[in-house]
Amino acid sequence: MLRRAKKPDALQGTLDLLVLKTLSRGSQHGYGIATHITTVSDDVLHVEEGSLYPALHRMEQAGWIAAEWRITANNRRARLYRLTRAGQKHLDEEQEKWDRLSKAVGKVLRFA
Amino acid sequence: MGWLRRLGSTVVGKRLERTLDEEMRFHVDERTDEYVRAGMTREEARRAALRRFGNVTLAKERARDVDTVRWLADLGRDVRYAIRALRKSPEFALAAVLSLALGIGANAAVFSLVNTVLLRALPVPEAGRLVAMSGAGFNGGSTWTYAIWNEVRQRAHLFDGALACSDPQRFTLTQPGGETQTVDALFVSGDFFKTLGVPPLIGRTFAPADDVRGREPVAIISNGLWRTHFGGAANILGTPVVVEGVPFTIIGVTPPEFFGVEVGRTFDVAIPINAEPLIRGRDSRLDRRGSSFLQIMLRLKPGQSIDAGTRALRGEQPRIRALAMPEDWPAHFQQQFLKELLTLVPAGAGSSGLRQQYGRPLVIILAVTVVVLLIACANIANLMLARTIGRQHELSVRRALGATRWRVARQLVVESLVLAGAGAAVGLSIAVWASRAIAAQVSTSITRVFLDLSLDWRVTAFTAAVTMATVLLFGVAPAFRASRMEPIDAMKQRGDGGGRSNLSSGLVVAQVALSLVLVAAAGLFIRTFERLAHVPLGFDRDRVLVVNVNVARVRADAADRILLYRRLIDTVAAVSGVAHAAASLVTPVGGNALIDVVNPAGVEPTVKLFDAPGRPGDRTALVNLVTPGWFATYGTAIHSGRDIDEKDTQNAPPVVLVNETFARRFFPNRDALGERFGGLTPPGERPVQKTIVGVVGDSVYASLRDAVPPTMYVPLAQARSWAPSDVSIGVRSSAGSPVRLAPAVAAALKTVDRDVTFSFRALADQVDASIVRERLVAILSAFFGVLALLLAGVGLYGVTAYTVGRRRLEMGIRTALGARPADILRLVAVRICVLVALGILMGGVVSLWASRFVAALLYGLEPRDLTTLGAAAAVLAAVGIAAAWLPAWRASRVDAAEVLRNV
Repeated sequence: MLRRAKKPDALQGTLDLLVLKTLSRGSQHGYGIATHITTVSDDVLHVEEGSLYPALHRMEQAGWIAAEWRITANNRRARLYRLTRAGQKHLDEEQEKWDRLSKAVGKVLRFA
Repeated sequence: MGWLRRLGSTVVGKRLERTLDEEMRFHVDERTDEYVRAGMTREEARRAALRRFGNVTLAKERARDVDTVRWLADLGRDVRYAIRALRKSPEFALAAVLSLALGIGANAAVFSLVNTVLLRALPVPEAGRLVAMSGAGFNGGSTWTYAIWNEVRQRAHLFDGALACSDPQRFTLTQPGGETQTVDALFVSGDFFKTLGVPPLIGRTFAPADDVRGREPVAIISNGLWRTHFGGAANILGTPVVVEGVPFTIIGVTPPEFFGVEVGRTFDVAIPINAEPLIRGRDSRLDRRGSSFLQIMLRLKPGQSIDAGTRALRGEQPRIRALAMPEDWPAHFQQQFLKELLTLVPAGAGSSGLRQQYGRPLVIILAVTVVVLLIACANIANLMLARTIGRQHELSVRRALGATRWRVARQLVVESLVLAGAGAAVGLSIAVWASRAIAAQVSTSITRVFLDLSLDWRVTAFTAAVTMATVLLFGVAPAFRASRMEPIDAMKQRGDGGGRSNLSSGLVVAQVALSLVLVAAAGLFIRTFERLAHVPLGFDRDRVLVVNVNVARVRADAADRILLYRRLIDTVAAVSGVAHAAASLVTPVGGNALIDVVNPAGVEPTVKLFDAPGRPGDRTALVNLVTPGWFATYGTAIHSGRDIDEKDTQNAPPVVLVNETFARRFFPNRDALGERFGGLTPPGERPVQKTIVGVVGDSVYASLRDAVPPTMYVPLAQARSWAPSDVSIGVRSSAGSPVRLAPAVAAALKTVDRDVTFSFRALADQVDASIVRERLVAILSAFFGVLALLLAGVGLYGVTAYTVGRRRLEMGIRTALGARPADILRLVAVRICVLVALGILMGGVVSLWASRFVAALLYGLEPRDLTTLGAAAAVLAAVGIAAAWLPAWRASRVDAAEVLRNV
């Protein structure tokens, strides 16, 4: 179990990347993040929205994102997440890795 | 790991739960609004939003797992880090774990005994409803005659059942091959097992119909006997087991955890009370209305209080007493018998002679082990403090890198936990072994002690609690200090370590004080044992072999029995190597006593027994029935007059020998020789006056602790119509140990009559067995006293070495300025002496206060014995100075030049 926490699997890593990327555009609550991911991925990624929250919680623990309670325009209490400096750094690294990987995959596919 | 995760979740879960709830509700609400805007009804919209959200519970659980994982991962990191840190200083880790293991192990071992002897309930269902019937005066008040039991049994419907059983009896069991072994047998009532709620392992338990006189004799055997004697054979039912020469048919086996109702004893065979005449023959106690030998226990109805039970019993008391009245008792005793109240006392934990005897010593030893653990904790706290100072740099760097105060403190607490946990693990394995070793010390050749010392929840919980307490004691102070560490401290070259000094000095004073208490207590117990072991006995303990002879199965009436005894004695006396042989009913410290009242001629006769024994006006004396040559055999001097001889028979004038205390008490200021006195007269016999024909030296009768009582020695042949079915033949060796005479004596006895059964015991063993408790307490307190001294010495050494180390520079400068080694030595020594003296002073005060709790266990000493306390203080001072000497001496040799160069 301890080991699982250290080595996130591929999908989890992808979700992290998407969340961090979304937050890099500005603070957002969970609902906003979910909506944004669905919208920009043209409804391709069918992730249950509920599974977002464990991920958010985990990233908060890891120090990549920070949260605070805010009152929204329609007068509801929402938990607003923002990217921390460590999160930004992690995002940069992950994004670079991802870019390299997708380039490699793209090459393989082209020459296969 | 599942349970661990759940545990973690409950610890960290609450706040997270609320956050997640609100956050997810917000999400679903927003999504619903969106769908409503898109044109759905509110209900549809909500369903769709929930569908899109997925499994709420699962999401929550996953989020919680993340937290638990983090919590556990942190803990795991802390533990790993702690182990690494401890491995870096193996001496410290080893010393700490070892002293904790000894401390925790000792506590667990003694508590395990306390638990088994004092706390644990009998292994039967609803033991809390069991009560024992108790009286006050006669026969100690806890055993009853068969007649009383018979009346109680017929009133068992007042309760949820009644049961009776005897103490374990040492009986012989004859193997099919003919060889015999001694086993513990219980006489039990027909509903014994059913009332207790003990089911048979195989076969059946007794039914009331089995406990009827003249029925086919049946027996139930214990799991232990079944396994050892019958190899656990499944077809055991129906086979015979031969007890005291009588074949009983086995009808059942009891489960392994059941040992009877007496904690500390166990049984091999249970037989119905009504089968007793088969074994004891004409000496059966069933019809003797004065003979108490049964414990009576009742099971209260559900909801029936013990007071209600007692009231119900007392309502029947007059009839129970009247119907069970011993007709042959003097009227005065009968009056007492009728009036004595029946009372119920809780018996859920069983009855136990062991508990009465060892209850207080065990609690005292437990207190001693707690103190030892405290001393060990003080040691470790001191070491930990020193370590924390040494790690100041490391800890403040961690603070500087962003660790919170709590985080740093937690790290140190985890280190303490790791130490204590390792100590507890080693300690528990020591405890399992040690508690058995201690219990084995209690067993003697006379009484087989059986204790179920398996670890139960109480012992485990106690050990866990003790372990956590040690962490609090030695781990919190260093952790608190560490949490006060500031990041800026990392910049400083060396810590000043201020404040530590006072705390550790305080710990050393406490250690010395506590050690003094233990050493003083050990001194008291050792001197008690030594005094008891050197009590003037009035007989030779080392030259006599006691042969217990039982002739119940020999068909002989009273007069013939006396002749039979005479033949047995003469045969034994003729064995080569035997100097003298003589029989008596009672042996010194053998556990039995006969009592009579002394009515000298011209004094108003009295029949009062048990009235203020030992007070002025008390007229009771102890009695022994002896045969000629008994005094020569036991080595008791006859000061004046003569021994009894063969001519003092039933038909001769009654004679008696008395001891000096007797002569002084009843015939003060005159020669007792030739005086006459009477005593209690059995009904149907005419009163007799005995003439004193000899005065013998005082000798111990029943207990080494009691002052020698007035004792009279009556010829066995003149014991009127009563001839006992068993006597003890004392065999005096002409030289050397009497034990080696046993085989020859056994062979000789067999030639007289094959139906005589006998067993051997060295008189010395019997005397030693009577002070086994004092011996055990002395050994244990001495062991823990030495341990305490050792720990205190180590503590003092450590603190001195540390202080000296810190003041190295100062010493160097002083030396450079011209101080001689002796001056430096004095500087250090004065401080140590002050600490030790303070500790001794405080320890002395505590000892004087605590001495009241051990007073009951002492013999021949005042609890506030100043000699013992003084000696203990001297020992402690010596150890203290020895422990401090080496580091102090080293300090005095400081090379000033080298120290100053290294500044």
